[in-house]
Amino acid sequence: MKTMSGVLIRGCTRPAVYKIRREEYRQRLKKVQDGMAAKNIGTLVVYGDTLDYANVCYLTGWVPKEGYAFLIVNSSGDPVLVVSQPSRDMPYTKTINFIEDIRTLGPKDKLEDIIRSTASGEIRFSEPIDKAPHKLVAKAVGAGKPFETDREIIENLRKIKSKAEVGIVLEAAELAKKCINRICENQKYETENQLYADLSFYAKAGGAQDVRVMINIEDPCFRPPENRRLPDNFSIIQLYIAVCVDRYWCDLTAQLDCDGGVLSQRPMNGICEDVINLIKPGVRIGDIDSLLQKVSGLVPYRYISGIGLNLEEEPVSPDVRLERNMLLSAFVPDSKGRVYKRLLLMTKDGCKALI
Amino acid sequence: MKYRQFSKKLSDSRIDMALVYFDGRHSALSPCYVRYLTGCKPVGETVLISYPDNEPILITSVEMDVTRLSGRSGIKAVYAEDLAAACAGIVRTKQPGNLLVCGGEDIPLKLKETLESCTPGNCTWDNGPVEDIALGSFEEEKENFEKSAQIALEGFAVLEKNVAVGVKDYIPAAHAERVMYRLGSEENFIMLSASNHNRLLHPPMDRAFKEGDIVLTELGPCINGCFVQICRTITIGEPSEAVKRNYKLMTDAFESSLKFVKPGIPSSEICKEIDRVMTKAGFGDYCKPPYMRVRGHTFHSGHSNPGNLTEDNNRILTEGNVIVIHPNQYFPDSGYLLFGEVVMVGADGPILLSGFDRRLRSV
Repeated sequence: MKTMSGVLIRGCTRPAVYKIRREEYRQRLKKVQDGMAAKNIGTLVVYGDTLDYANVCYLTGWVPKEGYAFLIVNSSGDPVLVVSQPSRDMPYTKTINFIEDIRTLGPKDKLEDIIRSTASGEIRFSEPIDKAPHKLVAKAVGAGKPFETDREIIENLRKIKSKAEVGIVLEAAELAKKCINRICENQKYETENQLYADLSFYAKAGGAQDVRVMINIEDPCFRPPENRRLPDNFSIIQLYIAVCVDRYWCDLTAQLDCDGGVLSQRPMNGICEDVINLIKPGVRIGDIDSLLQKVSGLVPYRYISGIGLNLEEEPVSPDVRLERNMLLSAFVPDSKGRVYKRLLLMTKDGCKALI
Repeated sequence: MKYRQFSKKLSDSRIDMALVYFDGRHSALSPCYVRYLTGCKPVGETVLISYPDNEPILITSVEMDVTRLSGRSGIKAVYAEDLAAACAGIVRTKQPGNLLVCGGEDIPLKLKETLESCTPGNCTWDNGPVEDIALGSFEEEKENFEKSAQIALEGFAVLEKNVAVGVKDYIPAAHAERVMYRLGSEENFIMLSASNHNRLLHPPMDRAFKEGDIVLTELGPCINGCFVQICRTITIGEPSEAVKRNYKLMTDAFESSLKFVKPGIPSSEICKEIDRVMTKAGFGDYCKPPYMRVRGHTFHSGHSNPGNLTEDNNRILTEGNVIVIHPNQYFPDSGYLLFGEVVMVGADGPILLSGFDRRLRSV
């Protein structure tokens, strides 16, 4: 299920300032190649575009500025990055990417030909090709039969976070928290857009690559801010903010009292211990989701999922079992029964709230 | 609402059912037909099913967006985890004699195959019916474009004030974005690059500005789906003679191209004129990728005419088309420079929505 991933248009708006060392990218690539060898896969074609960039970014740190890209990973050697926009992505890509072999698609340069000329053995796609735009599929693989999919190799790696990844997500979380604090510093807001403008400003001036904001003012669900006046009478605003730092996301919610446009926070009173004690390694994510739905009953969509390069990523499938070093974003109740979205890190024995 | 007009068009064209697809990726460069027809911006993958004589329905794969979509558009909205299966179910139940698909270029392979198998031989892929409505309704959106253009200019004024040696490049972008949101822009497309010799344009990259930097920016606010764009260059310190000369060349090329901004003229003429000016000045080899991409492009919430301003795009300009004309390109002696204004095709010639500001800025 998709959530709010389509609210903005171009994925990250600022290229990476690499906080993850080159060596970690090399290790990721090696693990992918080991996974391919174990499954007898010769070539894995990894797809990425401005919005769904996670897999390509996981292996390269790079996000297409426009259009889409494919990373061709063979079972050994360096990968080949194929970008769709020669005039834009080529110089851009070469400037900020460490991949040596970068090629472009064109009328005579089809992905299929590039794959065939570089691939060896069985070829797999990293995403289900039937969900890709049909025109792109035709352009990329011609009229031939689309390749089979293997999502597991990269997903299994991505769902366990490294120390560096946890650090970046935590940085995003701290920035999101600061943004919420800043809008509660006595200024008066007249419209939803003013609120959005300031949240976006505090995040981006703080170094965020991207920001997404949703609000809920007596609505059934969160929604994007609009050009509407905030209520004149006292009301409660539920705020959702997602901040992206160095490609990695963190999202939080806050409950705000709005008194004539002046905002103040209803702080979270710790996380309900009974709930937190149930989130531990080995438990199915679907069981935790059902539990949180019972105790929260707030939002009609997912209550817990992995977070990282995507706002919602594995572990999210109901049957996936929690493991150490998974990062989770979950709606959890506090001791007073109010529900907040918080960042949880799976530990050896349980989980801990990072913010 | 435009969807009423669309239903009538289906009736007039004897089309039994239309499926209008949106993949959830909002772009400044291409219209969102679902939004245009319903008046509500979807936050994810959404389909509008429309009939000549029945109420339409919206299907979204974003469960939390159902109530908002329904409330804002006045159209019944439902959630479907598997959009392709939901659409197939409706098509199989209704068994239309013919099916029109709009926004089809972004449709996933699975949905395309499903639709074609449900309506063998009777499925037409054509954006024309929506685009025709939008092309004929340009007056209604003129105010949105004018407001967007004014917001872009105010955004740039704030951006310029915040450019200084030592400041990180994302700071002026953040200031500009804040003011544009505050003025009512719903989205902002911002590029901001800085170097003493730019080779490309990109989003801010954590660079602290230095004396001698040339700051390039594209600002694109949006009101009710109507994006615009202005392109500007700011030098930190006194600009070199090469920068001054090349910047003037771009403004001259822009001015010269305006004579082709008229209804009935192929849009390629704008590009050819800019290339002609550049070639005459000795930069003919730089009038192609990777030194430039296009000489401008369309903005509209409901149609895509004329598209990119390139030499081989011969789509005809019509009254009300809104385009940015930007002679932006790389010059070997000054690096990449930007200049561009947003222009509406008026009945008698160009309407300069963001004006024509020739000044090369220096701070």
